[in-house]
Amino acid sequence: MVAPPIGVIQAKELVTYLKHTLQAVIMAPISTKASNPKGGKGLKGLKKKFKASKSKILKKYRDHSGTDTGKDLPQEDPFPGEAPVSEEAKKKFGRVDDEELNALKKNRRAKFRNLAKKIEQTVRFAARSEILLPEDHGYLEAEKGEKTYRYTQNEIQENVDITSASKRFTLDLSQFGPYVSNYSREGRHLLLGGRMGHLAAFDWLTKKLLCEINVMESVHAVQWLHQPTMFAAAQKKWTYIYDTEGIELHCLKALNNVTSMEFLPYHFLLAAASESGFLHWVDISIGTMVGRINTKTGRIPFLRKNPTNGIVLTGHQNGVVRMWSPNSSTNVVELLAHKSSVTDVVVDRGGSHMITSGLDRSIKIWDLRMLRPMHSYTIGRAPTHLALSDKKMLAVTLANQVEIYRDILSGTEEPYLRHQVASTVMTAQFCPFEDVLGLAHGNGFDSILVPGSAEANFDSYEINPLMNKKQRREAEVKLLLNKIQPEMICLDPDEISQVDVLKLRERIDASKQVLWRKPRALNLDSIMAKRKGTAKVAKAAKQYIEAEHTRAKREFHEETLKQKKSKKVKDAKKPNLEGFQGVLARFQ
Amino acid sequence: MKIKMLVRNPDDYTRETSRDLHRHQRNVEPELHPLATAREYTAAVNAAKIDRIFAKPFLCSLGGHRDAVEIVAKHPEKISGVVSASVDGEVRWWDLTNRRCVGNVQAHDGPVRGLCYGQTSDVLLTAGQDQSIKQWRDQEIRHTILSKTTIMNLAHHYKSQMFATAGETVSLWEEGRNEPLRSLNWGVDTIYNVTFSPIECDLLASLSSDRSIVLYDIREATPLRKVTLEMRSNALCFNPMQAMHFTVANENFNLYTFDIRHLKTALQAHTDHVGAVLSLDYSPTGTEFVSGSYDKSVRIFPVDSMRSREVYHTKRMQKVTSVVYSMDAKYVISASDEMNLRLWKAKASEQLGITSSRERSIQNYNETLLSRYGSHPTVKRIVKHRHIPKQLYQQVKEKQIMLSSRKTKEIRRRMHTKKKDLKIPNTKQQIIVEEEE
Repeated sequence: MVAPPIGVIQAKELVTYLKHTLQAVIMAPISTKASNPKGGKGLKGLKKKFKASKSKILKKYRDHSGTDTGKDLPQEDPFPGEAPVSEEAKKKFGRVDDEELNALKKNRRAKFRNLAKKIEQTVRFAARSEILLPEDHGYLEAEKGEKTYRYTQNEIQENVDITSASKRFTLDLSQFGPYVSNYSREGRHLLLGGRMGHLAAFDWLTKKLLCEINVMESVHAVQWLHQPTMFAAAQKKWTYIYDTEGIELHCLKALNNVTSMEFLPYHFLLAAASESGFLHWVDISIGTMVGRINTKTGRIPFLRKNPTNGIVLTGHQNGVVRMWSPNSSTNVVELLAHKSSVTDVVVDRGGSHMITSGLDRSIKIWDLRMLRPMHSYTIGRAPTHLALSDKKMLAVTLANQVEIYRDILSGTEEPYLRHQVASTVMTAQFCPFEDVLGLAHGNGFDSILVPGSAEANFDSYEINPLMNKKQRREAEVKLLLNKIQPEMICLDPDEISQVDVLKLRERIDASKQVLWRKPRALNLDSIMAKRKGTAKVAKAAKQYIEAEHTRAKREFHEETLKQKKSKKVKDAKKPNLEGFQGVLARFQ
Repeated sequence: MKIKMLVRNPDDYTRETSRDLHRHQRNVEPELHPLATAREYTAAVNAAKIDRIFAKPFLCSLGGHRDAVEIVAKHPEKISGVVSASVDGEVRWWDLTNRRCVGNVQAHDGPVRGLCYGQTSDVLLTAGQDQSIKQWRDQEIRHTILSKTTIMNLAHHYKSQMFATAGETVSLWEEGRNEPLRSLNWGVDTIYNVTFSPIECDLLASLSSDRSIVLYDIREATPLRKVTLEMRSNALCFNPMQAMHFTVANENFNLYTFDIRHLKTALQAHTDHVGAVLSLDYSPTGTEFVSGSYDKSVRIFPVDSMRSREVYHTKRMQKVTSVVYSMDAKYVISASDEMNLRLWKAKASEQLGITSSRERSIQNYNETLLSRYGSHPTVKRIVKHRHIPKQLYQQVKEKQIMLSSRKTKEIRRRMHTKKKDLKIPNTKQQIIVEEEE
């Protein structure tokens, strides 16, 4: 009897094992719905890997047993114990800072040891589950002596499969331009808006047109909303919302003269910046204006978002970048990024880096947590627009030219790809989940291929590019149910789960104050005068002091009570005004 | 040129036929899940709201008795079996699954004072104010004993054929014999409640009208301990999982949990009722107990908590005379003065019937969320909120005012006495008047 090849057995075992571990991981962070991890491609990949190791094992076995037959292979595990997890993977999937745990006091550490263990286990499982991801990222490697940026789009198109080749296309729309564009969240749908009033929405993969209208006035910005069923267009005066049939659903007169828009999907907020220097946040699920700020900086040329915390960013002509939250009437962060006008800002999807470009021909990379510049590059011409992909590739447009950098965050200056379009680029955006960069320009739209720019493995509970109508509806309900309240927008997205240290310190200080409350000046004369120097007098004095202490304590308590009461009355009188109501305002 | 573009085969991601489940692709990388904490918090708030929306604890009311129901007893073998006895001497057998009465009998002249099952369902004992103890089997009388003294209560040993009655003394009987084996006494007052411990089977506790709790070991000649409280206790129940712990329902609106080894202070005071607490019963898990009170409400307390987890009431329910926790820890049965038994869910928002694995996983997830975010003010407020009748609401308020003013008065009194001892003893110690051995 011939035993089945060892590689296959191992692969099967490993896959079942990983399925279990993956389920455990799924329990932890987001949802507990039973998963259905696809084994197909992953299994194939595993088989390949194990084929390589199979020969080694066989050799080892032969050396050990001294026989030369391939039959009766050993049943013992060649990889005893759990598969090791690299530190890098752990870092990638980790959600909790180790330093935070180490910072705890020793006596608290014991309490959190179990928690830390659980977290570590979750991270390990998550990191291991990476092997199950079915897709591999794209890549482009040059031959010896060649450079990737020398390859033209035509060459790339010729060398890729037919499906990918069809993703490269050019729309020649010289009549109603210049154009702005926007990809929907799941990356299948594209929205084009021409300055002369042309609005078009289509499924760019199948090239199927959803709607095409002419609004007969200028279009300045276009934006898909939470799902590819609705989009907003900032027109000459007001902002309109259309559905995919091109039917006008709403006219948002409050958003007038808008220059740029951003949509925060988890908050259902449409953020808009206007000619007059106003910032607006409209909750599109219930139609209310959530925030309206006069930035007092004149025309706001562009608005960008930080996807990790929902803060929006603006860049100004004096080289300043500001961050805004609807909960604060002033900016949350203000930093001088460039010595001349800021042309564009992008934040990466992890929320740790920000990239700015200025008219001083420089591109700067900032550490968003420290708010300090990390690298600075100077290029030949002033960059006009920036785009950052999920895999941290940066596209920089220089008038009608585009340069794409692969590892700019880690400091490589050589471009990855270069491309030239017919006219000045108005919008550059990487398509989510596809290796494609969309460039809307004066003469239409260009879709170019950038291998390796996109996230290969999506999470269908978040965004599913291949969802059908039913799944889309389901996702909409889920998204609406978990809509984050606008009051929770703040710089640190995890603030809600942290201890309010300031309040805690206040409380501790208050309790300390009770202990250190000074008693009133004591008048012991009356006691001392009676019988000087006796033990009774000393006792009486002691009692007197104690009584004074207790009185002081009581007075202090009464005082604080009074303060609390008066504060409550004040708060009740006060209407709910704007002003900073951070994420922790609810604790008051 | 080495090149690879990202191409997905839609067949790998979509279901083959419309009868299949949708295929899902997971990637747990944190970068793909922005704002996870804020979303989880929102989900927790939603879970709290959903929990309250589905909180419909009342299942049914069982009518049939023609006078106030005084006692309810659990069937030792069936979860759905319950027996109840009323003041007019009638005993009724109930089938909770079908929500109907399966038999009734006029057992005694005058009120029934004691009702309990023996080790098996073959033995059901009743005791009435007519000084008789009757033994029943399948709703038929098997044996009658005429006692010389009045009987106030009855309890059966969990592992032998012995049972105890309360009256002028605590008497120990054996099934089939007409005379008590022996009598136990400490002091002279009327004893109106007697309870056996389910774990330490020979341990017996009695409550008497001199406000005392007396503990006996039936293997010994004399009683073990006696604790006198400030006010009298109405009912006692041993914790079925913690051999040394028991809880008493007190006349002063509170319940107190004690440790037998340390009776100088109560382990925990359970304060939420606004009327005398008349009865209580432990959940078989030993983590919770249910109590019924004169304030027309049923409350469920975690053993280690001062405040109740749940309060049940209906418009028509009058003072609750007896409560029982079902043996699967899922239901609560209450008997009240207006002749009805009521069946409640122990977890108000629990979904009854068969749940699919997906439903269960969502329920588990929501539970985890609530435990993780339960201390956030918004979540806490929603979870804690109960709508109670106006009268009850006013009484609760009144009680709070009374307690706080009493405390203030005590502090002021102490401030102005010569010996300024400002350390006020807590209620757990205060209620104990004396402990005797």
